[in-house]
Amino acid sequence: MYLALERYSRPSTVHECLELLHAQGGRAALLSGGTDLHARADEALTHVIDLQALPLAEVRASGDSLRLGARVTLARLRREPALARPELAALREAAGAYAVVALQNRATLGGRIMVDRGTEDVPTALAALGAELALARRVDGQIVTEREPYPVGQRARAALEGALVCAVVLPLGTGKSALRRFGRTAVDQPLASVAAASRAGAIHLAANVQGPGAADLRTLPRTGALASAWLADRPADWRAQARVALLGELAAFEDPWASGDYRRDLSATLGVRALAAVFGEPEIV
Amino acid sequence: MKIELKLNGKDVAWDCAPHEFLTEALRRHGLLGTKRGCESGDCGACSVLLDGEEVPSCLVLAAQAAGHEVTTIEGLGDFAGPHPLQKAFVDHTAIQCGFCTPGMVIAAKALLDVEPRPSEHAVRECLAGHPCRCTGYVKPIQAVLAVAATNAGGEAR
Repeated sequence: MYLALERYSRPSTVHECLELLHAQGGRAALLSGGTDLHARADEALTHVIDLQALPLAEVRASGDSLRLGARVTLARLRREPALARPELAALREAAGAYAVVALQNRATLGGRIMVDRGTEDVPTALAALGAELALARRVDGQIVTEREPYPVGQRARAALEGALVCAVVLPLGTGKSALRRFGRTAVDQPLASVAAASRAGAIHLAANVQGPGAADLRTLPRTGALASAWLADRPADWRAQARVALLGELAAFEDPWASGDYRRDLSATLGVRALAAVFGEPEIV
Repeated sequence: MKIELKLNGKDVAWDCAPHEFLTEALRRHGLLGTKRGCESGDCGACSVLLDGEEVPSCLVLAAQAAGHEVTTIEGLGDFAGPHPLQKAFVDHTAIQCGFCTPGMVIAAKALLDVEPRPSEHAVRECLAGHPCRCTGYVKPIQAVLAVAATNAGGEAR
């Protein structure tokens, strides 16, 4: 419950937004869809800065990339014609797997990136798809914009501190992607998700082992390199080889929801299935 | 703070506190069909249409709704002139205690407005965010499909 919230702002420029955020220090928060911020309703928060008036809801394909504004909702990601491409299937699947329709209508791409830092499926898909983030920061009184690779691993949380995510930039090509996830029920937060994407003749994988209050989003380059060699021709035991490679790269993330071994084994299974989907092979044999 | 919005087709101007959620603001102004449930977006009982999309009003500050169009269950119809979805829920006995019903009807309205003849899968997905502890789900699904079959629910009222 908000106990101290006494100010609501709706800035119309990124500059104004970051100035407000800076002026209020740690007692202000950026508000996008509100699905997480309002559900937590931090008692100490005094100021919310609503991003709805910022021009951050564009979907623009140009040449070999697709720019998705941070205010694009997950519901829009599901139905947006520009995303109806096999190479972006992982992102559509991640958006559709999030909670329920009413929350997909509110939850935004930027929110999923900033709030979750990897506790849901959208970051998994973005990491596998080779996304870059267009960020704005206030540095020494100036607003600086920059593009950075999607942050994973230990630097994921720190990389976005104090930044405003303006957009996600995805490379376009002719590949395929898939995301596979598992939660205890259809509406539960997943225990793990793995995304695989073929792009420019290579396979890219990202995995997210998740639990309450923590997550471990990482790319899996060794398995990706191994699987890249199988794009043209695969050995009969490619699933077994992929599973061994995945188990070697995945963390044994343990919490009250599941043991580390269970999560790692589950993630390897999801990884093999995601690869099978990208290869166009049966997921279960 | 003062906010202006379009509520059930009429322009309104309200005073509200920055921390006041839309659920509370609506109920404070007599629109009690919007239920106060989990207050975390999980139960769907507080659903309203915001610019035509179903949203949980417990996760929308009243201030966020300023400048937008909000439709509550009261905006769909009443006893004298129920919306086809409201009538279908009654006709199919898709109601027992009725707490979740406004949210379900709002969700179904949002679906039929964009997809007048949805599949059963789409109806199930639409109602998935509306747990019901007494009626269950078969009858609400049948009610929505019945309206879809006549395509009456897709008409704006």
